[in-house]
Amino acid sequence: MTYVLQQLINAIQLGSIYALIALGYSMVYGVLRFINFAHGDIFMVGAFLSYFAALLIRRLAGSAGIPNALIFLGSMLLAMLGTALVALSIEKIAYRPLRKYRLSVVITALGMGVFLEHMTLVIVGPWRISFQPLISEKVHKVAGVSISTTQLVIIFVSILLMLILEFIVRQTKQGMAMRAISYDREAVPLMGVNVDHIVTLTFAIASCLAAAGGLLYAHAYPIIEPYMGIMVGWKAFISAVVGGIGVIRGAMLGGYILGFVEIAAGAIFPSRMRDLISFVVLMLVLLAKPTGIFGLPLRQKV
Amino acid sequence: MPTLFGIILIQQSLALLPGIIAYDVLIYLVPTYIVARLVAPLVKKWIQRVPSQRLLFAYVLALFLVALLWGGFHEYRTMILCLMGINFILCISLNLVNGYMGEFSVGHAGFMGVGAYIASILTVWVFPRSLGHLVFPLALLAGGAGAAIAALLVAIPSFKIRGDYLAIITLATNFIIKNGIENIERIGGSRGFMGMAKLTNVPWVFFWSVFTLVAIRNFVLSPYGRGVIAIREDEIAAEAMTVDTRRMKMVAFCTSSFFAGIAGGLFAHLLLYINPSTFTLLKSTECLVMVYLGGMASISGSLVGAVTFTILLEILRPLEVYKWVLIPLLLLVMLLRRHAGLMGFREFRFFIPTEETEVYGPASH
Repeated sequence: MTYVLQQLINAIQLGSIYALIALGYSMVYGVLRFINFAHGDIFMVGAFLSYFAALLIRRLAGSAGIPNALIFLGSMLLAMLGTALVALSIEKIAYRPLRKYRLSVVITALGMGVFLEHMTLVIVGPWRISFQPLISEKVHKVAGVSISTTQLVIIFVSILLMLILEFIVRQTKQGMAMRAISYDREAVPLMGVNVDHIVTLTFAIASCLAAAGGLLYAHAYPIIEPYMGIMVGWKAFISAVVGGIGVIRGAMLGGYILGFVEIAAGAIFPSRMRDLISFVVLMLVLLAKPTGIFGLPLRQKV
Repeated sequence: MPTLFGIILIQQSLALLPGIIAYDVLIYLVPTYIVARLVAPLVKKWIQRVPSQRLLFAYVLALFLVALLWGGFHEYRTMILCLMGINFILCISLNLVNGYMGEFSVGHAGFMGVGAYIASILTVWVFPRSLGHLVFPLALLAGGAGAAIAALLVAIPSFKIRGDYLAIITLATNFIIKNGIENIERIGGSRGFMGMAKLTNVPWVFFWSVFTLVAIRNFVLSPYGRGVIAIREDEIAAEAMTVDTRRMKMVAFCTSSFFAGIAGGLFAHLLLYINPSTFTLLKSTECLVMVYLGGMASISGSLVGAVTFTILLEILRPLEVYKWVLIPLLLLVMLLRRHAGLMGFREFRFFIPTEETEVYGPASH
């Protein structure tokens, strides 16, 4: 029983990171109807930027010891800012001029992913960097189940970010415009909404979530390298699809589902079969419900 | 002796560049020009004697002889020529799905991997080694058929509905195939598989490239292929015009994977070693890049894209890490200028049947 509970905690920890990244895929798809294949690498950029931001803050603070929580918060904000800038410039250069041509833009997205990976490789070198956790590690024992502070922080921060996102999308005017665009993209400009602004905002929010995901992932698995975004990105993408791509709650649910499936597969079968089993399970979900759990079939206009 | 127009020498020192260009001009261009000028009247007379149906065949033969001569017995040039052919097969088969059908398949390397493994297992364990080249086509066809069956398993669920779902499902399939091969200890697992004889050579690659080209060109120009193009332009309208869209998509997708499997078999018998991590998304991305570099929905585009990309990889080799920084940027610049690729929706004249160009004009977008 405690073993199951322990694995459940691990699954929630992994799932919330996946959910954060999956949200980025889902939001961009909802607004632009295009799969942003570079998102996994934006997540990687987020992880690296938070590493450098933490170094910078430590350097600036010098001997005046500032609390770790502040460093964590500061590096998260800096990483979010930097990653948003990177994502926005990519959108401006590579996506916006090609928005009319659906397939070409997917190729530039793939290209930008490769570009980001190798640019990072050029800048930081081919070494795997160990990420020093910013949270002092402490293990709590609750009814035989051990939960570390890192796990608590990861779960808390990601749920907080998701709540903020939910607030933005449901309560603000911009959020309403986002939902409107994903509902009917032709009619929205007629209502006086500047689509470009909304697209920019969507990219900014998506990349902020990816940066936070990068920081949290680096805490959970403290090694960062330029290729780390590929696998995590694809997995997050698939979990977004399982939840129903374009639907925000679907992306959250999909992330958690993938987390659970992965941990369960790792616990029951040999761990090298983990990816195989989790992808097969996701394919089975898609077989039963091709548009994902929350997804609705696209309306066809004749 | 500059191999592949002296690219190896340029890698050693950039200062050799003017010398190499001068050498290339002196050895390749000037003699070619002189010989061409001298034999031009003869060739003209000869062409008039050949019946026009055989003319294409004669051209292909000439091209083959040129390739064989240039490849010579030089290992590196033969290798590059073979890779060009294999890339061309991959590129044109992916173009059938991504360009002509307008769907988005991202897991092409997975099917290539299936073909590579099946073909190598057949030549190493099943067929006697002494038969070699005699059974090589059989092994390749079996690899292609295996890839097509794998594609059928993917196609049945993914063409139930419309939209971007093919991308997702092919992506997952690529992971499943790679991870599946890794977990089968019998065929080497993640250590890879080796022991193949070196069966891939320029004649085989040339034969299969031409075969693929002819097959896909005729497929695209057939009523079936028109249906595939109709699906790209407007699926609902195609359905209204009695195109069985689901079946059409499955046929096109399986054809595409069949040729990917053949390319995989050739690839395995060229490098003599295959590894599951060869057939990951990076390889699939390479195929996609070739398709969109050359041009969507264009056979000539696939030719241009595969040749350009293979040579580009070789030319940029001395840049090491920066190579993969530069290639996406080149691709981006090119896509910004020409959004459908270099030859997108256009063909060289001789790929289009003559009646068609006269009646309808070139098949443009």
